[in-house]
Amino acid sequence: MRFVLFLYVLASTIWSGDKALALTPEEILRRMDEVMFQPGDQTSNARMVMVDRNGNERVREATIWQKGGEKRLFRFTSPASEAGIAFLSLPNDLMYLYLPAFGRERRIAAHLKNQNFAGTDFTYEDLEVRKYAESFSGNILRQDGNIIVLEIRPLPGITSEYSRTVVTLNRTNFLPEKTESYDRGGNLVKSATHTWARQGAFWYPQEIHMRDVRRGSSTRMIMRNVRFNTNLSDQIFTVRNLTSF
Amino acid sequence: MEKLSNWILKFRYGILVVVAAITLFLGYFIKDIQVNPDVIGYHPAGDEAAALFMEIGRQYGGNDLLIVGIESDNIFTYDMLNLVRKVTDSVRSVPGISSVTSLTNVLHISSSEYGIEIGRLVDEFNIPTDTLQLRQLQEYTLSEPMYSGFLVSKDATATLVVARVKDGTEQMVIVDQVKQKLDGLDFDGNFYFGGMPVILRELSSVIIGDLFFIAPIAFLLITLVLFWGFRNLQGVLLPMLTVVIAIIWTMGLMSMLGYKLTLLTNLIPVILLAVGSAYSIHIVNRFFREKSQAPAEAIQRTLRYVALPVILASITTIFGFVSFIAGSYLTMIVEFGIFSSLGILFSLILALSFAPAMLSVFSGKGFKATKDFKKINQVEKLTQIIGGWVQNHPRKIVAIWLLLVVAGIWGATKIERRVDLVDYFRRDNIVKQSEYLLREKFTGSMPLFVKITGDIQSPEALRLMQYTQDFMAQFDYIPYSQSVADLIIQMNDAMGEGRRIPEEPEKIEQLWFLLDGQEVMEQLVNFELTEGLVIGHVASTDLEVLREIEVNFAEFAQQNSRADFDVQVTGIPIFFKRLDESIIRSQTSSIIIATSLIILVISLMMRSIWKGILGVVPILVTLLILFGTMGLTGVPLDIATVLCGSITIGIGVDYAIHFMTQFAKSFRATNNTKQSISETISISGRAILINMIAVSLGFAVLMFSNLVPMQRFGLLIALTMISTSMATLTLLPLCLSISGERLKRMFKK
Repeated sequence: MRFVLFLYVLASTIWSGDKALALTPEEILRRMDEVMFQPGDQTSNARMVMVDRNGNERVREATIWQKGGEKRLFRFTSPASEAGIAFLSLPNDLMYLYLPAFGRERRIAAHLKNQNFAGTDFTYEDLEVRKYAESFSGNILRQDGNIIVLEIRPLPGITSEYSRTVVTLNRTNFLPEKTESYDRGGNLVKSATHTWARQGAFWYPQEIHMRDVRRGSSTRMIMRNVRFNTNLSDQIFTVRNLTSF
Repeated sequence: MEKLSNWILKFRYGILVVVAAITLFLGYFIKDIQVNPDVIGYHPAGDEAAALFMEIGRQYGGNDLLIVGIESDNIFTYDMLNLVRKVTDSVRSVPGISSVTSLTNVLHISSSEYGIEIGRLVDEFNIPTDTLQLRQLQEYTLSEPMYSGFLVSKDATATLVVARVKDGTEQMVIVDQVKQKLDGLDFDGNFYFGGMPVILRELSSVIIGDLFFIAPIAFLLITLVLFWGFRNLQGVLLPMLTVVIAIIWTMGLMSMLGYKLTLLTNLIPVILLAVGSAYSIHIVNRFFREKSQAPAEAIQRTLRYVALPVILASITTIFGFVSFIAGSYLTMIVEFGIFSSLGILFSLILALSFAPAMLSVFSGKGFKATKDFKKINQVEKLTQIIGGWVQNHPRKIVAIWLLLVVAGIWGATKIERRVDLVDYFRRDNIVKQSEYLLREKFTGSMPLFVKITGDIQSPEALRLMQYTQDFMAQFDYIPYSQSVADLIIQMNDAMGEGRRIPEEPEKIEQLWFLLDGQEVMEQLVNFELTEGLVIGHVASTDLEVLREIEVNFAEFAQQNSRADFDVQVTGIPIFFKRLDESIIRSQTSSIIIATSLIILVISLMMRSIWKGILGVVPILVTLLILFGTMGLTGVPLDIATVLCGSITIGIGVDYAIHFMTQFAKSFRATNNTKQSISETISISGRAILINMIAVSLGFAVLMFSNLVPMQRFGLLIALTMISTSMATLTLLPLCLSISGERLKRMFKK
């Protein structure tokens, strides 16, 4: 009996290995997109814990509404002095900012992708919802047990502050567990670890720990109260809604 | 002395073994010797401005700027901007660089027809290629004081990539790494490097280069002069060996105790070669004269006659150097004082132990008696000429010295002072040329910090910052300043509320939120938002300007500090001003200390305060000539030339002691002033002149140094040696001949 079990384990290991080996980088990217872009909309509370190079810690909280890949509203809730500040991202690189103390919105220029968002170690590009298969070409560097190490580079026409990113993903669910991004000079600049959680049919990053290697700072983005497919209205993602808060 | 010579004879082998062992032990540490080229960092721990400067460095990502300049016909082309982007990336990737600012990543806040733009001046992902766009960018950039003259030259032919070097990192390694990275870039033109880390890196390599280049030349030259003087190779090699051992001990001890080689301690080998060799020369030569005796007897007689004068000569020299320990504010000069005194002490100890031990072990095995001084016709002739002058033209001699003294006093009033580190390099030095080019094209790179402590997010604090910047703008030599208030004003403008600081704290907080995470913020405010900096960029190292800055900003800080805000000032200009003050203070106090100590020594030795005062006459005259020469030839008082005064006193007084001792001897024998003077000039004159030539040439070797202050130092000491010896041989006898009967009686005692 034991022998049979052993054979079964052996066979299944080989089989699953075969299955992954058979995947091309493009297929892996597509599988990643499939698991990460399932929900139509999503609402969550984010807690951002920012630690600078001297170990000083600062915390910000925000509520995030997201619909599809291109509509997103970020509204800060804490600390009190920043409550109400909001960012609205719309298709075609349209981005608006609302400062309640001024009572008016302003459009923000589009070429800010490499800038840090709200004092965190995430750049606007890091927060962008991008379909992997449409934006990157891949190259499998290593496969080891349940781990696939994939190198991705932006496709021609896609602007990115990174020349390449090394993604370590779990073969069982195709979710990235670790990413390491390199600048144009080939220097490691960002490193992130992802902790994934599952709610119903959907996976979401419960925590992303982003480190800015050059600056020595880091940010933990922790997601709570995540709700999927609650039929968010398009009205939420309008300039009028931005200012009427 | 009897005991000493017996002891040396008894333990001669032991002495040689111990000296060899110490030399090997301390010599081992020389290989680890490190260089610290930092001049302004050499302030004692208690200095408030220094402490604040260091603290700002720690807290705000380093206050040392490493600057890369790029020159081209026009910077505003796609290729050049792309190069700037690559340079920015390359410099950023060097570990130890905390931030980089350049045309392709500098923060740019503007309001446009559709809204607010907190972005970059040039979109590095989308560098313009279109001529019209490039021209617009050029026009805009040159019209903005934030960039024009600061990041790009007003004629658009040069641009800077400015990097901050993290505090406490190995700055020199970083400079090398940055250069290495840029070597890999495809660019036909030249990169220029500037800023304190670059200057210090260059100083460091020049210091090491000098050490291994100048000291051997000095060694050879002094050996040659001594050989010319003594015509006896072995008799010259033993003293030189003695002094080389003293150098090894001194430098080894320095390294063992963790002291780094500085601009000044770098001079010690040359000083020991020039000065320290004299002691064992006296011993060795006396020994040769006593060679007719049995070796033991010869050693005893040698030490009996020579030990005391040698000890006295070295003590006065040590006092010259010790005056720097007690009389200086700068750690660098204090360290120099400690180790040069120790070096002289080692030379003395070795001359009295190692040299006789060597002689007693090896006597008769190769050492030949030296020929007498009399054989040297040139020196002999010179003493005769001097003797003749003193006898026949006393008035003319007095007139000449008076003239020199008056010219000296007049010249001394014109002495310039200089603290700019770039002046330390020779004209052909690449770093100097590079720094001058950067200074010509860009506004100053010397940061002046005004630190404001309080609730810096409050409208009051921001207004105080703005007020500080307005205050800075009054001075032509502070062409540009920055603070977080600038950014808040720009953002407020972009939000449509005008170029002013908002009255409502909430508005400031929300504008601040948008700036959060921008690299520039880390350079301007602390994390807790309890401190903020206003950074002025000073474009002059002129001492008058530095004085004005110090006075005005000290007053400004005092007037604007109040219950809720504390205002403090520091920065490189303040440091330079302090450096200058310390140099002047070191100059006066070290000369006073050295002169008093030496008057005391001669007075004690000759049992008369008058003789003590008489003994320093040649030196005091020389000091006036020294300062006069500096004033008239434009040689400034700097970190090295400040040493000349006391060193002259310490070395030069030996001539007077020598002369007065010989005079007393002759006067006792003849009771005739004229005859005694003549005899003294003839006997002491030879020794003094040969020593003067050896010492002057030894120091003159510093002419070959790659550091301008060292060149000046060497030439000035050579000059003072000539002047002191001449004053001793001409002025001192005249003083003696016109001095009253009382003094003469004193010599008779």
